[in-house]
Amino acid sequence: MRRLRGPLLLLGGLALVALLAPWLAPFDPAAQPDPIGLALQPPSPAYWFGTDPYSRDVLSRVLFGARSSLGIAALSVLVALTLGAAVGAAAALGGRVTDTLLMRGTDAALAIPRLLLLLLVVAGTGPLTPASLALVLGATGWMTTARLVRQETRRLLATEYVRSANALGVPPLRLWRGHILPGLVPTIAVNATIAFAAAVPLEAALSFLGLGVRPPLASWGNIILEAEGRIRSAWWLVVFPTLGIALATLAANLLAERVRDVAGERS
Amino acid sequence: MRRIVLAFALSLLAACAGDAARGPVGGTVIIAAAADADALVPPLVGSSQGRLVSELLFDRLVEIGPSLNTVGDADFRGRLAERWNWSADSLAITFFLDPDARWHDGQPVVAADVVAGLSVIRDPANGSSLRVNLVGLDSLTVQGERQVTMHFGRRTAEQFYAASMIFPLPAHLLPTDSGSALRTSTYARAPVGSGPYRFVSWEPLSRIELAAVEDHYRGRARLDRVVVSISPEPATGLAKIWAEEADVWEIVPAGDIAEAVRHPHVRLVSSTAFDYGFAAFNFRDPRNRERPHPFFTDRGLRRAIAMAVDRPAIVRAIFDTLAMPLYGPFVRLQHTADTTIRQIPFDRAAAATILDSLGWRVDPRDGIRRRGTQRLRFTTLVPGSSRNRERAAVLMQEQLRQVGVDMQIERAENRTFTAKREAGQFDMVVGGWLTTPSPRGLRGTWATNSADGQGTQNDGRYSNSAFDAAVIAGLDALEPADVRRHFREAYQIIVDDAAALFLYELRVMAAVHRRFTLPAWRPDGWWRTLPEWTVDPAQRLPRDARPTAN
Amino acid sequence: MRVVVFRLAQAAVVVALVVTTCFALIRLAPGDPFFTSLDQPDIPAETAALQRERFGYDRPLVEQYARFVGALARGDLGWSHSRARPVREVLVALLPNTLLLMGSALLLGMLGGIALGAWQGWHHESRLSRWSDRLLLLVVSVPEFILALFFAMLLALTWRIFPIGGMRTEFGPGGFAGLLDVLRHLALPAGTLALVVLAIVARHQRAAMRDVRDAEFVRALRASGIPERRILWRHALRNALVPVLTVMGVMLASLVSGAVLVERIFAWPGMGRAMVDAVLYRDYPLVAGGVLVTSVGVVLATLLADLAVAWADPRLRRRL
Repeated sequence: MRRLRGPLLLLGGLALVALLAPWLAPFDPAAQPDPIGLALQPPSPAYWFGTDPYSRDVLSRVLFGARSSLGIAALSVLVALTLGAAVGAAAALGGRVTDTLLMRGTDAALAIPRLLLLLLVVAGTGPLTPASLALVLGATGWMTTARLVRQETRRLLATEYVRSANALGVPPLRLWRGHILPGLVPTIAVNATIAFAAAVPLEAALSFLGLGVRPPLASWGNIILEAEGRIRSAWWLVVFPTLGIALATLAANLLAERVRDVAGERS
Repeated sequence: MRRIVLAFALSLLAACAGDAARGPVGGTVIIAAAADADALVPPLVGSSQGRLVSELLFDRLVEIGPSLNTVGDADFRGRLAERWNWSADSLAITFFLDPDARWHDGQPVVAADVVAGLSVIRDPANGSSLRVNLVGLDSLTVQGERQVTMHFGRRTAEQFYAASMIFPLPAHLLPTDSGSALRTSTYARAPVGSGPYRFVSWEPLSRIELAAVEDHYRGRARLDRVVVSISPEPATGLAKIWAEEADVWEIVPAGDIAEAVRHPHVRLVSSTAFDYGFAAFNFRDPRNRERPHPFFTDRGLRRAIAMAVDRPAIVRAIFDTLAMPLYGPFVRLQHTADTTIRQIPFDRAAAATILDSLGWRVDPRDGIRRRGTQRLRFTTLVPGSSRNRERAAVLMQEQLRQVGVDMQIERAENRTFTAKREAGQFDMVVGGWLTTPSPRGLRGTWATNSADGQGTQNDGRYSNSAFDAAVIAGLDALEPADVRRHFREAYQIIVDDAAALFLYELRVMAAVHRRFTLPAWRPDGWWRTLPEWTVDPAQRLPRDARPTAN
Repeated sequence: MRVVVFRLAQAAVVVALVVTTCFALIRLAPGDPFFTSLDQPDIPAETAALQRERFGYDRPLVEQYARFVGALARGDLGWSHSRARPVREVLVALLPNTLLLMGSALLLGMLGGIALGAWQGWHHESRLSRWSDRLLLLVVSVPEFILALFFAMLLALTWRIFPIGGMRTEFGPGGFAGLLDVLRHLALPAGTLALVVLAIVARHQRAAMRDVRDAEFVRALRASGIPERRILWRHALRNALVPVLTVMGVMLASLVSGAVLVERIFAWPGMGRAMVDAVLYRDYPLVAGGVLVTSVGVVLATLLADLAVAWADPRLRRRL
């Protein structure tokens, strides 16, 4: 358990920063004090992380960006897990036909590169609010969860314990809620952190293509976008948000690994 | 300041008046472009990359001179037509084709090719952007192999300009069935033209290669080869310029000028352009176009919003000196341009007072103005592909917030943007128009939308009959002075009405490799002088070596 | 053999599903290939209507789909509006470039990752192994496009070791020197993608190898006096490959995603870029055709990965 402390602390710290952004940020993240005179200032005692082309404070935007980036990622994970668990469980508990249909559908969704799938969806929905962006990210990220949940459910169904419960006539839904779902928790937990680690950079990539969070809201992705064409001269617009993305992804990846290790040691 | 810039632009134009300067033959120019061409045959082209390539491949009948004066015929030069004469009533112009003009396959250019060129533009299925310029041209008659006559319904000042829109096309090579098949024909992918360069290859998403025509009727182009090399990221395209992997980048962003100056092999060339940007109000309800907009039909409100926006500061912040504040729906290159149009001044305090007097009071809870239950909140549509326009919107958003106006930004990728703009699904739109030397486009972009093709691009549905009348009077006038007077009146009306916040007019800064000697940059298509470019033999790069015969 | 045929049939169903989904999705998006251009005010609206009619986009969706499938059966993929040529020509021109990029990235990444991971796992207590693992974790945590931008800035712009973009030097040398020229252009885009693959593969491989190292059969081999090096590369590696090969199918799909942005940054003329453009242009036929090819590729690669797993782990062969 102690090995989980590092990544958990890191994730918790980032979440805390996101929550406390309004109190931590030295400036209003949307304020443009002087778009001509104060634009693109390098880091200085007044602006620790420099300013962007609108003269907005990058530190404040990175802090507020944590809110949208992490919030969107977390929400998208929730959506992906719910969808994935539903599809996976339905495939495992339903008949052969349901199973085949759902799993071939999952394969199909997996065979389309996720970024392309996202583009297709975003092209259809038009400009997105942060909440709908999370929804879309989640809707394109449920497939691995579905596969794992199906696999795990089938394994649990085959166990002595569940088989006997089944024989005793426990209704399927109660069986699912009472006996299978708790058994799925470790799988889902590991999967959640992996999905989270995938969602954070994906939000950034979408912003890079100009389809992410809309202005004036800050996200790590759209701060980097402001550096477009000036990566060398305005490195602070890339480095600080990238640090945020890397830290969040790193923590989630580490957590997933350690949880798996801990679970492995226990079994 | 304004006058100096104008004088500068004019002197640039004057510099390229002389025809084809001769110089050493040989060399290769690599043009880095941000996107692939959409077509290579002039009437089918929409993108600027397509225009560049197609206008090197094909010659026009006649071409407008560097003065860009569209009135009369004094400033036009013969191309495939070596001369022309007017009928006594000025309703017909007869063109005489150059007997030396040949297609790249060796066939002579004949009268039937002019007819073919015109019918491709005219066929609505081809969606040619040249078509609107043909208004007034009734028919074309052929007299023998090398003589065609254009017949006009009535006299107008820009009658001759229509003729300059026609690119003859090789009738013997075009697909024989209806014109709409041209776009998907194999000819359109490997066109045989009449211009100073001939087609060599077109690799999708990668490059287009052209080679000089040895025995061109106007003389051989100096450079041997022209390559358009495609880099979708502007940063990559520019980096190729810095690394001498490419020679020309058309529009260097303001933020990269400093970098360009650091490279001794790069020369910056500046000129004015035909693009302008604006933020237009929607006069109709975005949810139901039949109804008026809930508040933007109020002229006082529009003027107050215009007053709250510091347009010169926005232009400076985005473009530094690479754009100029806009004075109305026109660019300085058009002969009707008038920078004395009275503007709505930037005055935040006055804007706030006017808003108060109109009943829009600041709600102390969120700082946003309300009138009754209505909040002064609206959505501005911007295209995702244009960082500059998004920047303009973000800057306006913050300025408006300071007077209690809540502006939301809706960024949509291009197709969605256009679909929404055309359907009127926006409160405000940050748009841009690419104009032409003729002010004719105004009838489509700002005049009242009506069934006869007027105001078809007026997506905000601005409507003022006095404006419409002034525009039409200007287009019908014959004397240049009258043309200008009517347009001046129209410009002042639309600015006073605050139909839009007229934001900026672009100046472009191009980066060109220093080994080239080139005539002045033509703002209506710099490539028009490309056949005159030369490379100093002492500064040749390996890629300038003469291509081996094959 | 029958198993393989069954799997192929399944794969065909998956591909059909993918293409149908994309066919429907792209048509839900507002706008169509014939919109009036962004800023050029002179294209009449009736043109769009005429073009729609010509390409049959004014018909009901079901009819369009039937026509599409019919044409597909005849080997006709339709007309690409964004690239102004038949879809088949676009694919013929761009697919080899993408295969070159993805193939070299995958090959380099897999081989490097397996070797590095195997070494790391075998010596998992060593400090070097642990630190290199942390470095790889960092690489995995930075989005591909930022890595690409970073390499472009450092290796192409600042140090000028590699060209910044494109596939070959304009009018550069031919023959063998020309091949080297292509490789030089390939280095950055393929290197970026390979690094990501390498990091993922190495981390899986390291974990698997660590488990195998202490496995019963390895101890037995060691006891019988077979040299350590030979146990590692001959016996242990083959067993430790299984988990890595299973992630290959999924990794290929994510590699395609990464390639989209990397191709853009390095101006590599490949499918990823064409597909993004196709979606943004509403180029219906190219979206359908491109997705068809990509999904066939991903599905086939998954199948191959499964076969490879069966080769590496005979116990699984029957369950295939």
